[in-house]
Amino acid sequence: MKGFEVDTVLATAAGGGSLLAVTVVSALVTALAAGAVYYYGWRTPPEPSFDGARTETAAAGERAAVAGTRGGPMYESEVAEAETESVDHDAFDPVGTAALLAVYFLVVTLTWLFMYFVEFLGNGPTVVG
Amino acid sequence: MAHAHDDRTSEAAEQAELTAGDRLAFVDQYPSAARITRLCFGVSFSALLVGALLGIVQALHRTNVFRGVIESSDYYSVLTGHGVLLALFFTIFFLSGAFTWGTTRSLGRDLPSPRFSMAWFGLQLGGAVAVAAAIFGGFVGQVPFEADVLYTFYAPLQAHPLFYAGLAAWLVGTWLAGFDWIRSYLRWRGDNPGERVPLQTFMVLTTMLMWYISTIGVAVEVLVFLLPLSLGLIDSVDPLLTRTLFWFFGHPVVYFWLMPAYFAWYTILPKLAGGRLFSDPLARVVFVLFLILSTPVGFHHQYADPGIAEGFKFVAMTNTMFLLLPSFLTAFTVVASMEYGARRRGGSGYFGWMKALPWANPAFAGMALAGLMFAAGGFSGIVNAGMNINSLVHNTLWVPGHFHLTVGTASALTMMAVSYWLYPQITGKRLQLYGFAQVQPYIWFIGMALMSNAMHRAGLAGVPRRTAEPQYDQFSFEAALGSIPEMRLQIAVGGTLLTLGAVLFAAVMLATWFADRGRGRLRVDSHLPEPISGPEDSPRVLDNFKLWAAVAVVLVAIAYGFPIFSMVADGPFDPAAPPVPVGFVDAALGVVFG
Amino acid sequence: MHVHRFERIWLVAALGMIVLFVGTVTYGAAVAGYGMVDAEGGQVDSTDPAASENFRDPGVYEGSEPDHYDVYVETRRFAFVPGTGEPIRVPAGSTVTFHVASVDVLHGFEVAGTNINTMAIPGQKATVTAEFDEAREYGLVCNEYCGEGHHDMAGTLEVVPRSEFNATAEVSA
Repeated sequence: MKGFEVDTVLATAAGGGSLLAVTVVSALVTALAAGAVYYYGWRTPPEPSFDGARTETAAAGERAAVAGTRGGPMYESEVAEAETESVDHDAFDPVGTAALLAVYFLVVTLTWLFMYFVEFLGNGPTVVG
Repeated sequence: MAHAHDDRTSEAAEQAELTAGDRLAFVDQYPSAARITRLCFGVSFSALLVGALLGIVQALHRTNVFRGVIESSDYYSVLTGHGVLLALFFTIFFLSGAFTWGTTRSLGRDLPSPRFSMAWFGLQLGGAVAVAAAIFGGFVGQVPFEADVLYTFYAPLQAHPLFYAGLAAWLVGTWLAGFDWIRSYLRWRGDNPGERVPLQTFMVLTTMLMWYISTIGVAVEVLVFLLPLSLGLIDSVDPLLTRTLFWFFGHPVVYFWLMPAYFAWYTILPKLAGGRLFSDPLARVVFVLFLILSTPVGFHHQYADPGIAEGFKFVAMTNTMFLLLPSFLTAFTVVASMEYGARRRGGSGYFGWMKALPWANPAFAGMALAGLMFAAGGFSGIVNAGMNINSLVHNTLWVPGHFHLTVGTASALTMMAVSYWLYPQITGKRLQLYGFAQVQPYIWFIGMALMSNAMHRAGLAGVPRRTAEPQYDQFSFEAALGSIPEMRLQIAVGGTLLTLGAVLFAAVMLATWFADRGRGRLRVDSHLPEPISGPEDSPRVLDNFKLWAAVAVVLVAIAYGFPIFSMVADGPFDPAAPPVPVGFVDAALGVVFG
Repeated sequence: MHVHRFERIWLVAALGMIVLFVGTVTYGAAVAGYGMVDAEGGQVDSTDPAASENFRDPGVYEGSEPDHYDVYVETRRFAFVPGTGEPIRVPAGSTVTFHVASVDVLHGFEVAGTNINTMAIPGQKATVTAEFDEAREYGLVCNEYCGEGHHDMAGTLEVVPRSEFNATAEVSA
């Protein structure tokens, strides 16, 4: 039923109410979808809180001073080990990058030639000066 | 605190330190810098929200979907607000915060003078508020100021002096911000002679040098011409000269939007992808290229202007095409950095590796989608740059189609994505409404794809930009691909999705701001892994800021010297055009205009 | 400096694309003969162009060569003169030079859907020459914001069949 209504609404009048109806409907559908995604799928369960107690008692005066803020000092999460290893700079060949850029090169070159020779030079009255 | 140099003997010790979880969050390690960054982000996000709401009013109005909010004559107040709030204040306050964070973090030292930092922030904010007040005066009949001059504020159309004065104050605030970061760098340099400049600081310094060179144009335009004109101190200006001075600045400003995005894609995105920056030296080369090439291209915004010889336009065209090079190089380095991470996460194949990337991480997804969209936006920019083919698209809806892909996605979506990762670190609060954050980049991407493709096609049909009602009695537009009503629908729907995206972002940030600080741990860490090719592999001349700044100035002198000289030679105020005030201005300043 | 082999290849490809872009644009200018709006129009008075030496009262004039017409257009807030009140009429098969000037602020002069697209800047005269082969109607759009009535600023350009083009009636003295 809703689909039928949308069709007839689009088919009538050039502006005003019909496009407004579609836009409102789209916004509502998107909002519902966003809510559904949020609710069902993608909430990450919060991690158990790390209790910074062992460093609060440390001697470092600076860190103690920081504790003046509500809740105490905040710490970053642990750093993944992979980030701290050293890496050989010749070990990696970015073949996936090469593949993507080859596609991009083709798309840009062909689209440019189309835009220039068909859309531009092939357009309307010839401008000569 | 990770230092830029590589020291194999203490690697094991560093590893132990990092994985032990004793790294204090930025908010507590550098409280002054964190506060300035928070303030800058607060203003930035507020400007984003208001600007986005203005945008949906525009989108629905000009597509004839809903015209109940404003009259068409008020459309231009909305448009000025949308342009100025988003393109100047959202972006540049974000940059001010992000660069404060980046220099502090990479140099390992807090701001040298918190009071000075607050002063430049206050000046930027005061200027911005004055400009915003002038613009919003256009909606309210009772106040004597208006600024319906759009973000490009060309003379002879004239706004209230408050607009120009506010802009000047805000601009000086950005200059002072740069001094702050330069001073921090110089102090670091005093303590670390001979060391390579840390990459994030390198990017900040090259960006700011470009800013100082490029803002000369708009500073002269506003302080020498438009502000005195609006105060009645002079009675006419040369519109061609003031327009040229604007575009002297108007092109490099887009790099002031883009370089923070590149800053994030080069230094933060590889980490989020689980990878490393493929090449630090190439990143430095790219930023040096932007420093030297960003400004001598401004005439490509004036291809359709009379009064400028074709030769100067041609030079600007070739410079602009070469300015593609740093962006093309960026594509390689950034994608390779992500690919490295994807393969470490188990991805395989020529294209399948992309599935292994952390698409559920909103900071990653936002930046990756922004980069993808930039590839398309770059193409429409090449058409804009193509001197003669530009006539096909000049001042049509193609142009906003282009820049919504670039500043509107590559920059804006990246800035939002960075915020998901950085805002917790500068506030000490874990990101709230995480599901909304995860979905927001995709909503933005889809909305922009719809709106922008329709804008491009409408532009090819000749539909103009910057107009409240692109439906004319005298004729109708013919579309080669699709139909005009269908394009309007896509713009309306796309614009609605984008507004929803902005609102979701604002909701996440607000919820995080109001959340309790909590105890203990963030979900993120700021450790940036060493690049695969580090700075030690690059020639030291790259760090020679004075050299590159000098080259930049020489190129600007070549591109602009003669044209500006010839415009000024017959008199800087000639051919003289009197001002045309917008709206109420002449009533309020009646005595000045006599 | 260590540059990966793939990156060197991409650098060459990128430079190749840049050369392609510059080359096609140069081809368009030099070989296809596309002329840019430039400084040849000269300067005019910024509020009363018709009083200047290189401008005339708005209208359609016969040019110095056969089948060539000069159309002098004033752009003002918010109309093209001629164009808005009365359409601009030229015959099919002619070459037309538009001379465009502004009497107040920046305007745009675009023949919608074509490559005829120029700015009107007070104090400067823009000239654009185009060949109109077939008879049809075009819209004229002001595509540079000029104030609160900007969206009303439009007009028509009629390219009429030769036989319908009455030289004495259409062309100004």
